[in-house]
Amino acid sequence: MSLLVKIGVFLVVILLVVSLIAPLAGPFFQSQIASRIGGGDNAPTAVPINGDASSAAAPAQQEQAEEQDYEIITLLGFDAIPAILAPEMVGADAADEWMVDNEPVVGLSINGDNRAYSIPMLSRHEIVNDVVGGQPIAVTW
Amino acid sequence: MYSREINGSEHTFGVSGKLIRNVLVMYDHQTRTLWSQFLHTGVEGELEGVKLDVLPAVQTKWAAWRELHPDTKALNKDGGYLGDPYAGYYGDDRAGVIGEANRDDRLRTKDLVVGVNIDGSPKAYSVEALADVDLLNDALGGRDVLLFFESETRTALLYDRGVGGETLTFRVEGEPAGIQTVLIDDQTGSRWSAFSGRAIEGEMEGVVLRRIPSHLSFWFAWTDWNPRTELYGG
Repeated sequence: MSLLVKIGVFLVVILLVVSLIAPLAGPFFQSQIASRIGGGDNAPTAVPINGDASSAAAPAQQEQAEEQDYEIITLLGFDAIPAILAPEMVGADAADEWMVDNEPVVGLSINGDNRAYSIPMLSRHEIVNDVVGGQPIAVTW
Repeated sequence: MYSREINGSEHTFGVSGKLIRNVLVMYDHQTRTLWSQFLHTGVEGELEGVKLDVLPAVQTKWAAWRELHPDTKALNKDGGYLGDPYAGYYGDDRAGVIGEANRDDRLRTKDLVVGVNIDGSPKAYSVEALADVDLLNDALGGRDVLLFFESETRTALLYDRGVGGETLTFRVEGEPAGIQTVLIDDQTGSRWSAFSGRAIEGEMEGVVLRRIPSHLSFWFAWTDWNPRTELYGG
């Protein structure tokens, strides 16, 4: 084989390897995305707003929905913090045995169904999947 | 708090182990879409761009909640988990695990604010400043709102004070009395429970003010997400 062909084959192999690895490697590393998600109608603007960069945008663009550049940072694996999928609820009298008066809670009332979620407990689980007043809801912390 | 109904079907959520600007990223088990808690929006995956419906919740203390709702149920703690693993973090100067994205010196990093964002018009109310006022008749994002803040339990309740095409203005009746605090509107003189937003006596009796979601948040977290926020009490 001529040198040129050898180099050509080498490049093709490299390209193949890279194209195979890239999609696999993606999810394992910090993924970075720039997204146009914010309030309002999410209308795209030409100038990404990131901190003070908004001052550079034209007035018309400033009125557009907030455009946020943000990074998704991976700290732990999926479910390393266990969300609650089947919450056990008890009555107020039972709860009084291990809830202190000034314990911070998140309270939710839907269709006459009142529920309290201890914030120290939420800190351990971050998400409670529950059904309140017939409505499926997520309490998140 | 969010509805788990997305396009008519029920989803369940887990913790992704990822953060955006120090705030929880969830995923749903059905599509494995990543969801930003703060934006309540899908940020990566099949349901990217889809929004979750927000349901107004109350952040308060157990005794107050129990008194308001004697029939309440409570999440079982199984007798465990007495302390909050973040107890030390709440009081120190650390800004999350990543640090601040948009430092804003109008308040201190860990000062608490009540944050609200109506149609892209973010406003933060300093909790320290609210301790002196109890009640604010305010306007933001083109809406007339009422903010009631009870200092002892650090309970913030935001209401739409537009009722049937009319805008009401409120004041506290007598001295604030914690969860029993009564409000009076200037237009009809009706008496309202501050905690439930319900008119308990007078022309408006039975009317319930519409709640608007607000978050009790650290200043750094609020400004990271709302860099051009308006501030009350800076």
